[in-house]
Amino acid sequence: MDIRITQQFSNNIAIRQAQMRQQQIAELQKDLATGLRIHQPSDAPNEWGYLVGQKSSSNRMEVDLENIATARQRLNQSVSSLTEAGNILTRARELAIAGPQSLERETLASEVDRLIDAMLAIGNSSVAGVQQYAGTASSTIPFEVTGEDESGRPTSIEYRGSNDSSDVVVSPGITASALPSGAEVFQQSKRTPSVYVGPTGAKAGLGTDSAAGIGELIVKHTATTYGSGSVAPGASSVGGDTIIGEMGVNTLTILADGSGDRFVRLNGGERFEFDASSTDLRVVGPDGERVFVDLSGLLPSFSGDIDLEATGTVSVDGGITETVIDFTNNQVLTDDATGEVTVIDSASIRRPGTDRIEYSGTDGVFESLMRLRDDLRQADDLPSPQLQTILDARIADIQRAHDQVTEFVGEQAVELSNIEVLENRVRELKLVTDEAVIELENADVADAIVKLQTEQNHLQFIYATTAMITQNSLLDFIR
Amino acid sequence: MTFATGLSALRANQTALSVTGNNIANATTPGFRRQEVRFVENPQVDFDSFSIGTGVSIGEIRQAGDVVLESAIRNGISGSSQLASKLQTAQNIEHLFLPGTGTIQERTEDLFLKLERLSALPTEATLRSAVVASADSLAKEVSRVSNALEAMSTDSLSAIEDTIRSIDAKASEVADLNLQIWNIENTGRDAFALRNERDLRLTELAEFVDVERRVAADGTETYVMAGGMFDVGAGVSDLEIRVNEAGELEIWKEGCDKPLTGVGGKLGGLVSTTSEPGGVGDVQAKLAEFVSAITYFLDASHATGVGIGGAFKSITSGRPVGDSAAALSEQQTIVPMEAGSLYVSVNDVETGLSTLTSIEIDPAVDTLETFSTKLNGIDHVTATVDGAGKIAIVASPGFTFDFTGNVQTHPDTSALSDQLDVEVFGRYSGDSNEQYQLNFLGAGTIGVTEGLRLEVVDENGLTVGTFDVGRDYEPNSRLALANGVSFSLAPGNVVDTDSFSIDLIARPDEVGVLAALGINTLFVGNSAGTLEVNSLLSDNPSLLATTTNGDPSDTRNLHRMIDARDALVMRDGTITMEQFLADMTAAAGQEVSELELDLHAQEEQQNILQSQLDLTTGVDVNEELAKMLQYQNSYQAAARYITVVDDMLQELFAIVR
Repeated sequence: MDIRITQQFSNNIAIRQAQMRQQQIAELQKDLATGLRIHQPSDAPNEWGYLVGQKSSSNRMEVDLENIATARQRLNQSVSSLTEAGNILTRARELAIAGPQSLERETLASEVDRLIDAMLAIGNSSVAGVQQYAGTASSTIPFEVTGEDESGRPTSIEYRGSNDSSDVVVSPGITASALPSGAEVFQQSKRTPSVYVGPTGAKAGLGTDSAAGIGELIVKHTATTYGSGSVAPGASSVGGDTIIGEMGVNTLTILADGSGDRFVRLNGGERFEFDASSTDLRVVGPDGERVFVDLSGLLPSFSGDIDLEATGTVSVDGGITETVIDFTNNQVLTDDATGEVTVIDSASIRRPGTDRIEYSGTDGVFESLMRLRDDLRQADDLPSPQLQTILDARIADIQRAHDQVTEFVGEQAVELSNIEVLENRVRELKLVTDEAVIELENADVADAIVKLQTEQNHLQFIYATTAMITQNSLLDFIR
Repeated sequence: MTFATGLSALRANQTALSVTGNNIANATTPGFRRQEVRFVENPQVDFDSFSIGTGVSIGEIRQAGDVVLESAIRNGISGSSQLASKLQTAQNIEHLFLPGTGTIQERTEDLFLKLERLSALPTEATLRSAVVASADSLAKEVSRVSNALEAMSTDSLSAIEDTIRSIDAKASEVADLNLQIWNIENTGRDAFALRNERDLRLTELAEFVDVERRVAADGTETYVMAGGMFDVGAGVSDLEIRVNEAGELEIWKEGCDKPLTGVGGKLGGLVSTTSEPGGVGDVQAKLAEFVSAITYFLDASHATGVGIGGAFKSITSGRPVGDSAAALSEQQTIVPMEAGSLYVSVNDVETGLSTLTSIEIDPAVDTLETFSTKLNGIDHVTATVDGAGKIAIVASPGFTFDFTGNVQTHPDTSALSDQLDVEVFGRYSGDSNEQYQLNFLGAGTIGVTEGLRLEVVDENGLTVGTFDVGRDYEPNSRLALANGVSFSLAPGNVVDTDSFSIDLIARPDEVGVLAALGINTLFVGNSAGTLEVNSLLSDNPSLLATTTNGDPSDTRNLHRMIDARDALVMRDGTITMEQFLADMTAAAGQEVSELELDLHAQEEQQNILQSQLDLTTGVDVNEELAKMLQYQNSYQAAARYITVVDDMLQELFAIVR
């Protein structure tokens, strides 16, 4: 085979090689100009998916960090606000403790008013127009004063916000509760057996009340009947007797002395003399209970005990619904207005009258404070033992409210701590991810420069050799 | 000694010089093959007892060539052209997904990022606007890419038609040249120039379609093309372009019962880009798959939420159907539907009470009209279908409606022996729709009777829990039912046959009818090319359905949309939508990369073959110059010989005179 090298052959080699080198130089120049190694999927198709995934993760972590910052800011503000709320409740407790002995209860009540205002301000606090304690209903002012007394002091504060908290996505699959429900913070209840303060002897029954706050139990006497047919109620018995109880709970004792005088005692109390004309005798028991009794039919020779039964009615809705006392330990009374029920132990009722029912553990923060304020103001009207009982209940309420707020602050502090840990983790992860992106995507400048220089050298060699070859021709030697 | 001998040498060398001159002149002419002269000795004549030669003449003028190499080169050209055509399409596709220019993948990511950011600041009007703007941007990019792909598809068709015309033109030229060659060569002359011209046309033809040289048993040479289905001289005018059921282009020859296969050159490349993996059709199908998925998951979530304004007084669908009397499954809907329930909540604005009603829809049977009829069966809701194939749903005055599937706050307790108020709270976070039956065990008073219990039974009849609602239960206090839902019982009396049920709805629209019809959806439009963001949201971003109850910071429905980001919903539940897009883009890049490598390899091989051919048939000017000197010297020598003969004759004539 002939070895023939044509000019066309040499030219083609020169052109092709020069084109290839120039293409390489253009690509290296692009890498250096942009600082990137991968400009489009075809530059590194096998790495493309991973690169896109890493970039996406980095961008997502950027948003996560922004969301974490938002959640952290809100939690910080909330912890700060609720810490202040805890201080308010601590002060309220101090005032409640001082109440029974204080001679300046109005002053104490006035201070509680200011505490209520301060607590209301915390409950209705907002940041950038977003309510802190309205849950998802963040544009609604959560705690609305729905009742005021003649002095303009709030007597009723109702929650208008949402029962659901608003969650922020702080990382894929992880949320933080940034806007809690005010009901959860300020209105949590932890019911304990209700306390009855008053003369009737009623107690909490075997069951669970649904009524909340404070209530009133009205016990009325209906009729008294006697175990002996020779003793009958006096004319003033209805409306005048102040005993309640099943047969045998109260006892009338008939006595006679040697002189022929006859006496009657109620429940072992003071002796009251009577005779055949005693048709409406007022007999008072040891605790002030009384009956009006007709003893005119009593045999002169009779002495001994006579059991009595005193029936009555009870009501928890101010007398709208009066229920006959059934003397059981779980009598259910319904408030006609609200439908709420109170379960009482009516077997323990001994006297007609009005009891104050403390539905313990059902007051929220605001109710506890308002009740303390009101009780301090009304303390002068209460007998000392009842005042102490009531203020003890207030102290318990406020302590419970304080504990709840403090517990919630603790929960938020824990969440805050978790978020900060998460933030650090995301920040570190983002750093690693960004480094991976840079490692993958960015051009190695030093390497690119060396390659560029090499390619330029090659190109110069091509040009030089091409020029040298084309210079030599037989034509130059033909004369 | 004769003049004739010298004259023959003069003539032969003059001819050879002409051939060399022609070679030098055509040294760079495309398709030219160098020619060579073969000298032959003239016959001898007898002189006395000797035989003496009578000079030289041109035996033949040969043209260099290598038909095998030339065929290989033509095949290479055809292959390169096919690859170049495919590469061009692949690069165009890749350019549609170039990073840094707001690709679909980047815009999808941006939409999800903004949704996630909105979860922290759901009341921020600017963020809500940003989400809508991002969705709009995504829809526009999807539409742009879809339309660009459609245009590429159309351009491919147009390019195929142009290519066929070019093939016909080149084939016609080859046929004309073949005729001229035949005419000349039949006279016993060489037709080098015409053959070169014909072969050049064949090479040019190979760029458009595969060309094959065939030699018959009798040595007759023919050229065929397009997988051997056409004689080059006959052209390919009867080719027909068809679109198959898969939307792929096919080339059919008139009279054949199946499409042509193995067609090379640009024509083959253009056809394959519409049907092969990584081609336009393939990318269009993938884009449609993505659009269907993102539409299904975002629109379906959006449709079952409400904006900050809360439930609807009226709403009109944004994806009209072609025929409101035809079954829904027969409509060209962007997302698929399946038979199931649609839960509609009707809310009394004054009391705040809501009623949850379910209607059963079977897309294979139900039409838009029957869907409307079923909606009309719900109290306080009126639905009408207009002539444009849209459905409008309106609530009665004082009522609103939604498709959130929120729990019915007061379930039906009318069957209980005594009036008992049951209230349900919370938002159901379960994965599937559930109905719980609650049966009282025993008789008595709630909150009072010792041992009074309430049993909870699921749809399978399994007891999932029992509550003590007796002495230790505080009436109206909440009892946790399941997945974020609780309920309370008011005080009251019950007997042991009393029971009621509570529906918990995770998928308010099991059918997918809301997304399919564009009812309260984020996007509207029935295809990738017509995808748009719902204009109601553009006008009022507060309608962005981030909530399930209208509370500004309720982000429950927003979380549903965000959850779609990490959901493994593509490729049989193995990857996310973003991963699908990344893979799609990487595949486009892979296609370009592989084609570039293939093309580069093909061109390198082509260069080698071309160099070999060049070494065989090309003109080496130095060689020709050397020959030129040789012929010149021979010519000069012959001329000198004639002068000598002439001198000798003059000497002879002088003797005679």
